[in-house]
Amino acid sequence: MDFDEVLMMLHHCKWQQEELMDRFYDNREKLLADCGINKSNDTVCGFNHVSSFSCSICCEDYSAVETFSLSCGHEFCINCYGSYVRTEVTLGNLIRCMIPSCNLSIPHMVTHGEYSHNVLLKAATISHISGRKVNYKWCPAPDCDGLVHLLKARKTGQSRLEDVNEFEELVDSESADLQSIPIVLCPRDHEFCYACQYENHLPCTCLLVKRWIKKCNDDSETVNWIDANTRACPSCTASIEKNGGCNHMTCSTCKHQFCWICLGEWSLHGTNYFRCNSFSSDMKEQIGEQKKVKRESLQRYLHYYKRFALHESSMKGDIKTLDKVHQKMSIFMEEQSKTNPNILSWIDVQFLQDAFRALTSGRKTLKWAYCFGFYLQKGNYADVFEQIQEYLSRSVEDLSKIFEQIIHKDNRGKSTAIIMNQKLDIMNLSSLITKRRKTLMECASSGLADGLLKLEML
Amino acid sequence: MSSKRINKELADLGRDPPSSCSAGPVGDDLYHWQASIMGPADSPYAGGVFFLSIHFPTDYPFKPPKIAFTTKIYHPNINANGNICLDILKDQWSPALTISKVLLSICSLLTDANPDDPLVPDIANVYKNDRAKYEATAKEWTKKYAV
Repeated sequence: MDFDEVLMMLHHCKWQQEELMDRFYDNREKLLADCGINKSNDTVCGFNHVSSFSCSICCEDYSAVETFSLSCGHEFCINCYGSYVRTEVTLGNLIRCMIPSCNLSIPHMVTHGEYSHNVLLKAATISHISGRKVNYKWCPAPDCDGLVHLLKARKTGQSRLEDVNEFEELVDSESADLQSIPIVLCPRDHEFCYACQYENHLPCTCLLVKRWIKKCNDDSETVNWIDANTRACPSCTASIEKNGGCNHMTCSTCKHQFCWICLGEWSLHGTNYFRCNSFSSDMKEQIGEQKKVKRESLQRYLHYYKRFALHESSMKGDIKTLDKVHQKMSIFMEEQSKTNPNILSWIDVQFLQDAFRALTSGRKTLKWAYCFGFYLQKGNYADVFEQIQEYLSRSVEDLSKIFEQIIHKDNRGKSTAIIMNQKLDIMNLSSLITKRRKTLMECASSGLADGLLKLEML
Repeated sequence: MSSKRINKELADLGRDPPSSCSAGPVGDDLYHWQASIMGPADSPYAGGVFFLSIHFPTDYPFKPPKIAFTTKIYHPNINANGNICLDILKDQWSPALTISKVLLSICSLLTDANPDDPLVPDIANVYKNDRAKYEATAKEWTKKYAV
């Protein structure tokens, strides 16, 4: 058996190793035939350049063309085979010879231009995964094709399906148990939550994330602003923002004249303006109070949202910076290895990778900590949480600054020297960030568990 | 590219026409054909002529043609809209198949229905449990709609 044949057999058995073993030892010949593997024929499958060929699929007569055939010898032009494979590959089955009575399959490793083995294998894998969504999740990070396979149930004694359902429940659960949030790491180093398929959102629960995203996307905040800053015209209900000092308002839409203070008709006030004043002093205070509450809540939301968004955009900036640093370092290392291979090895600059990771995950945690903070009830323990967050934020900014300096244009040509000089600082800061992140998580997690921190589901 | 292939099939049909069926384009549109099938002699459809419409997709022959009966027919695998439940018109389609081969397959479907994979379960039930009644009804429909 060669590699190709094993792949074809696995594909035929829907990638179930046990099933393949059973069928292989049960009736080897039948399995091989079912998979379309031809062992007896000596003709090799492959590409040929032929002159004067008539393709029975497209009915073109070629004077010279490239053809492909499996070991059955059914030969078709490369264009037709290409179109055929492109259509078939989406169905997820082994791709057979185009002649219906011929059962032979195209090996995955046949490589030619657009239908290389990568395409064939990838399509086969994707079709397999889409049939088994529960055990696989794609990494949600942009441009990442990492895949996470859930191997075993989280709690023993539970079947996989129940376990996955449990994840689905988790997304909507009010439970504040941060320990149960399944954060996984994709092969390309992106952390994400297996339950809600969002990036690592600790210390927030999946439900908080859902609400926060909804809140940020909703127009509800605009409505709040309108509520806090405008009044509805008593006649046509158009929203009016008062832009002058006079309380005699004329609606620009319906020309209704009214008093801004009591919203009553202006004609009733007549010349006696003070009538309104004495009448509505209670009312006015009440309305003022309501407005104040609304305005405060808007301010509060904006405070947290601004910081959340800030860290999100900073993270993107950091990633750009880190890319540049990485490029510089790669060039430097290559030169080093040419001229003087003994001075530096990749292990010596491993700390940079750790620092990159610490910085981005630190930002991510900070970002979500602001979402967490928004839903957090005020209290002494909440102040402690915010204090820890403050510390983390400081370290993250410090590290980010060092990297900024490295790629700053004034320091062109000196960047590697700066990296090596600042090595200790970078290492210290990254370990500090890692520790502070951990402390922040522990504070949130234990605070919620002990009831010291309470979330308000606004 | 598909037009060349369709023209070739049309030429082949003209040169070597199958005994029990015929097919050709409707008007100028090469991608829309009409076909006719004679009811097989050993079936209750004997004596009838059944018309079908054929639509070729632009990516023919990599996608199967869309074929439907336009004549009403009483058959477990053909529904009231004329849609045909036939594997080679769906997942078993192969670019090496031709309209002539597909029409012959439909002919043999008329002789031997496939009641285990029915499109019309009611007719499949009758076919399995009361063959005489099925044949009578099929004959009656053939007389009524296909003669």
